[in-house]
Amino acid sequence: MRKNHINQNTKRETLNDNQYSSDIILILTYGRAGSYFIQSLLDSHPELICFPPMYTSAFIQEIDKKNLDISNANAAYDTLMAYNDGFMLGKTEHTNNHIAEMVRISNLEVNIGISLEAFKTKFLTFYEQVKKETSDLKLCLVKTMSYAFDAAINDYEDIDIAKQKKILFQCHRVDYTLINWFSEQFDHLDLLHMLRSPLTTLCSSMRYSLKLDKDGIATFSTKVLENYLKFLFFTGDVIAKPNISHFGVRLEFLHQQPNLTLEKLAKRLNISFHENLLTSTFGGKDWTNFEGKEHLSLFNPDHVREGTLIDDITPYKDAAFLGLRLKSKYDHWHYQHDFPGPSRDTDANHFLLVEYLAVCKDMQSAEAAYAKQQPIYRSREMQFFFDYACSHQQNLIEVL
Amino acid sequence: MTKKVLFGCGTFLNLYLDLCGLAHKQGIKAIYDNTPKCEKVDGIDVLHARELAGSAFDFDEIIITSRHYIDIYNQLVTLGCPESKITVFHALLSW
Repeated sequence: MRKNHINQNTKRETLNDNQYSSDIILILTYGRAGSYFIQSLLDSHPELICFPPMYTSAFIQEIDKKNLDISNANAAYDTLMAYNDGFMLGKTEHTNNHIAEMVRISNLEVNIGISLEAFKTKFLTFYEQVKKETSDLKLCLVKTMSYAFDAAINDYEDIDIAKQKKILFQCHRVDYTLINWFSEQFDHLDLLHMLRSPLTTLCSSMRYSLKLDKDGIATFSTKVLENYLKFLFFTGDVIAKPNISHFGVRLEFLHQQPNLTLEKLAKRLNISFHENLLTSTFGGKDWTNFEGKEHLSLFNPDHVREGTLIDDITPYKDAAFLGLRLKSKYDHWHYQHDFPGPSRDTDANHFLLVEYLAVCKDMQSAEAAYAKQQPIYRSREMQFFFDYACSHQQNLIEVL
Repeated sequence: MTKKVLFGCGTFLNLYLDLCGLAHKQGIKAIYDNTPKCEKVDGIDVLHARELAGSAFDFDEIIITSRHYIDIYNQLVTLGCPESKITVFHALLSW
């Protein structure tokens, strides 16, 4: 059984005065910045329901986009199970090799020990109960799947136990329409933005994309690069809505000062600081994000670098080009940097190594083309992002 | 209070007005659009884009709230609006 079970005798001691929680926490990220890691730390907290991280906002978007049937309990259950082939929800036999490979590459092969039968039973029961309280089918689904997951993991029947917890959900894509929708459905929305030194994040994202491309899982294209860059340049702005609290947690702080950072985070999320926060789990089962999974400690201060990253993916001139456009983030979030300080004029016709990589797919030919600065297609959008990012005045979120 | 105007009357205008907060909304003086289909949105006057030139850009900031933000940005610069006054609604940029 999972560690975070609140039994009927102790739940009053750990929860706020409100009988039911109408708060939700969404985790945002702008690349490979530790969004799974932070969820794994919050996973076993007794006041939270952390739905498996592979079910992101993309799932909610797909319901709208493909008009998926969630009109009744059985249809909603089938839709949920079909989305990621039931991974991390108790299904043990999988037929979708693509999803299985994504799970492997994302290090999400965690046998969380949830029973498919238990999850289904609770889902179908809870759906009918939640539906009596809301006419919004998407909200009904989000609440039901969260409550059913927690009840199945912790082995309880009473939906009221689940209702007293805050729901935590991965909102990987910074989709403001969805964020706005969530803010309208819940009394309070915490937007927890995982931050990492921007160029380190970009390099990590590029390596991940190249790996996915090499393994035939997802194509690394100029469009993919464009998306990474625009997230990097333009996310992190404050959202002004009164019931939204938007703040950032630096991955580096989390590794270097875990206790202090998690205490601050718990305070901000209005949850108690709990020993479980120092343990990395999914569904209560140990998890590590480090390749090989053999690391003894999940906090690895030597692993994180926060200065300007000048390496094989972002050589000196590229770091300067991008650094100019990311300077406000480096400064506002107190990241060290030593950008050489180019001007817009001198780099106007400079192409980045990552732009060549998105086309060539291998380092050797990309480097050869980069050295010669061979003319390469740059989309109108990408050019606009580069130009606009230089002068973009951002009201950036606070970092804890 | 900073004098702001918006450009773009589509679905992203609604998202902008939902997210921007009441205090900010009170500072919005007008909404411009290339093909306005109504006279007011949330009590704010909707004006045709051609009236922008006549306004002598008498505002501190113009925020683009349309998915065609690159075209509109270029349109505004062509009309003579200082680039320093043009902002794109950040939700559009990370879309």
